[in-house]
Amino acid sequence: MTFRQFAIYNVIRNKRTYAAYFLSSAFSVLVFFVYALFIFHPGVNEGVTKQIAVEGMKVAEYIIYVFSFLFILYSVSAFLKTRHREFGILMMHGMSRRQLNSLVFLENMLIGFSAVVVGIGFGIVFAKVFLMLGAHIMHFVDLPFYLSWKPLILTLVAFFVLFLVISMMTPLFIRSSKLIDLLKGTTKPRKEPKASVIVSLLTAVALVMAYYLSVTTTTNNIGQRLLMVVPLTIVTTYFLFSQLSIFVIRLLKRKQNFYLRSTNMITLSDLAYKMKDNARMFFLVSIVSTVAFCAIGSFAAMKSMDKQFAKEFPFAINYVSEPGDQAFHQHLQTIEQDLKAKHLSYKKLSLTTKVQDSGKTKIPVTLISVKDYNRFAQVLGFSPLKVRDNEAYVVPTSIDGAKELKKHPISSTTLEPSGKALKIAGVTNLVLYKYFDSSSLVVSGTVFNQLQSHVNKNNPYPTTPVTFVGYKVKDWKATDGIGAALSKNIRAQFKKNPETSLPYKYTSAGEEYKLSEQMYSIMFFIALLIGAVFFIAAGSFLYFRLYADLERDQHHYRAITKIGLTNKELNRTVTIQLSLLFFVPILVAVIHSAFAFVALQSLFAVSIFSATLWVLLFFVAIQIIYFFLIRFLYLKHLKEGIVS
Amino acid sequence: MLSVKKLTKVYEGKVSHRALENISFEVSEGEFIGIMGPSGSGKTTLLNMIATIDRPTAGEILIDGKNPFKLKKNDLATFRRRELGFVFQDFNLLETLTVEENIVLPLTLERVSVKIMKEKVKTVAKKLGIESILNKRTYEISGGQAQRTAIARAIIHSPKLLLADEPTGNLDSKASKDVMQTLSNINQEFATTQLMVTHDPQAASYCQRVIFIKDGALYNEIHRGDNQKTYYQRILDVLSLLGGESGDLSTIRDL
Ligand SMILES: Nc1ncnc2c1ncn2[C@@H]1O[C@H](COP(=O)(O)OP(=O)(O)OP(=O)(O)O)[C@@H](O)[C@H]1O
Ligand SMILES: [Mg+2]
Repeated sequence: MTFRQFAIYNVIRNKRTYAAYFLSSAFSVLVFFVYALFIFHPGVNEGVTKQIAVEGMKVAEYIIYVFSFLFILYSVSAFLKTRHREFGILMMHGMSRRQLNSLVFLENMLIGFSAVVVGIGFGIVFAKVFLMLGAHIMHFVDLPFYLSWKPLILTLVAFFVLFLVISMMTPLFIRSSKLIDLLKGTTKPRKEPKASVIVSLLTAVALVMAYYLSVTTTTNNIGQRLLMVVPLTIVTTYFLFSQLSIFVIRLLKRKQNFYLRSTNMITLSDLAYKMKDNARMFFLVSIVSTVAFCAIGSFAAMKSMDKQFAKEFPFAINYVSEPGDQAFHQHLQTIEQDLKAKHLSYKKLSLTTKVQDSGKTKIPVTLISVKDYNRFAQVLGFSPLKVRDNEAYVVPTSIDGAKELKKHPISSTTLEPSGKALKIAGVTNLVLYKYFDSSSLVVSGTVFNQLQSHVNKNNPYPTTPVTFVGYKVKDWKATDGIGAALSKNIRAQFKKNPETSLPYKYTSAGEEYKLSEQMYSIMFFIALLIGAVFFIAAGSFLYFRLYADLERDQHHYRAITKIGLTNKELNRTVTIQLSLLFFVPILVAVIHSAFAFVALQSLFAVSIFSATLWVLLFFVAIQIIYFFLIRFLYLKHLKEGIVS
Repeated sequence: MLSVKKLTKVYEGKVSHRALENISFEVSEGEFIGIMGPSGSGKTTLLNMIATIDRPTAGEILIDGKNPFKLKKNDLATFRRRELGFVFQDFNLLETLTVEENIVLPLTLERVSVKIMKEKVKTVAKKLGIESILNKRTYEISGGQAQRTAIARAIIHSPKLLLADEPTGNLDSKASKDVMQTLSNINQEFATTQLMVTHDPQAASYCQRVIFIKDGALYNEIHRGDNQKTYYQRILDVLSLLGGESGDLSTIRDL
């Protein structure tokens, strides 16, 4: 046996311990490679959405890389910690520190390199499937199979460097150089950390505060709240496990009736023994899972936006004609022809606005006659308004705007240059058109007729009186492609000179919906893979925690079975311990995520409850499957050890 | 060969514990020494100190006139690799390796050629009667076989000083006799100096000299002389004076 063989045996014969870590690393490599496939795909350089997808994936690459670094660093240090006794034996037989370091280095490089090879290999074999799947999820029609050297080299070099750096850092993790300490290794019983009443109380208070802050989040303060709640939650989660778990176990141990009954003592004393390691692991798994849940949950929620869309676009087709729009009639003809060609029936409505300035803010205000408004309201299914001559109603441009206006109402305004004073009587539920330059005021017919439009020429983008034409179409999602010629002109003009615009605006809800749906699909795809990387890493932590102690547990249970623990009782003890390990951190992650979703809800006009609920249920289901799989394997391995 | 001078070891803790108190003795080249004493008397502590596993609080250990604790880290590793053999109380075999691989470990670290390794394993395994299990993994062998594997590992590189902590602790009397015979043979054949901690008076009677320790201090010392029969009896006598029961001193460690 040569030195190199020795390192190889150490890895291969410990494959059970390394399995999850290896798979999780390989999966990170795979996801990294898949993103690289898209990023370097020549097909993604065309079109705005594809470029956005590429930018998103670049960010994702960084996230995965940094996360993988931390994950692998933590895993490696945890592995080394469990091997102290082995290192002690080796040093006792004359292994020098240099040899020990190079042994560990070799082992790590071996695992790392195989993970890279397996990850990339899998990626190459299934590249076609990934491209197809990704293109399907992201609504790209045309991503043919294409494999170049670039994603291959990038992934290979990135992860090779990563493993190299971490392998070179390993000597730092074997700190204790006292042989006697190394030899005692992990058999040395760890002290139970003490639970401080003050810290426990502070933790409870901080947690309640974090949850309260997320429940009371609004659209305006979500950014600032996020900055407070996230660090607060992370810290409290750590103390939640390191303090509360001890507290609970102490409490249970003190209840002699409970503690001394049946297998409880075995279960609890063992839990207490593993406490410190468990607390840290619980913490990591909770946080990492929360991130996974939130990433996937929020984008899944965004996909279910069509209800909000329908509210924000009461008209499927919106045409705004500004002064100087010579092709007005021709454009409307184009639209109507398109609609006919698609066999879409419609109701066409139009109105003309006037413009004055707000006396206070000098911001232009669009005015609508109540007669026009009521015609619209009737068709769209809203109640008509009665407006007196000294009154006005505000028509917001969006649902969110309506909410804000209702929360912080404006009581009155004076129009300029007419000097007309108006009392604001309320805010309408009807939203006319999202891309109006400003909110509009509904005024009485007399007032509307009296006033003259006034366009403030000093304003670089002056608001002008316009004619708005709306087509109500029942099957609004089908309006994608209607008036495509108009959209194309607008885009061409924007490309030519973004400073000036054409004298008309055109929006079809169908196209908008398709675009935004695609954006969210792209984000969802990216978040899905990142979330999966995180979730699998969390699973790997759990697995490691279990198998690191397998040998010790075998001794432990061998001793107990000799005293007379039945097979059934053994299963029960193990099941209780495993369920705690598997479901406590996930439960915490689910609760954390639920509160995060409540905060997130403030960004949406429609409920994201069901979408996020499905995501959480999905993860819990996977965790349950994982639990049963590991329980089966673990019991099998444990009993192997007991019989022999 | 080995000289222990005024060795004292204090375990610091909530209550400091004096495990060894001013122990001194000399061992000359090729001697086979037994160390006996009641449980907790400091035998393992003493052996650990000589094996350079742990540092003494005061006093000095000289091996061939050198103080191993004054060596640089790398030289200490080389020293352990070439001159020391150690049999742990609980074997300490590596689970990832086969029996053979465990045995050649010191040679691997020395980067000895594979050919020489194979030869040496063969000789040692034959001597200890474990040729048939060389390819087994450590969880597939019995306690006695594990013990012999540990001994093989400790002697394969022909160390000058062999330290053994209860090498017969887990063996029945037949296996125990075999192991003691082997150790005795090695001692005579290679003139290896050996220090062995044991609770078993039968095993101790293979040693040329037995040192008795009580409460961390030297208690007594007897030489074999010519008559093995009376030697055994004298060991029993000292043990009964020490207050330990001679017969059932071997501890049950593995439930
Ligand atoms: N790491 C330690 N910390 C504190 N006290 C220790 C430590 N190791 C041993 N002791 C104490 O030192 C004394 C001697 O221990 P040692 O292990 O040398 O006994 P021993 O003679 O080998 O016993 P046995 O025959 O049971 O193996 C004991 O009283 C023990 O409690
Ligand atoms: Mg001992």
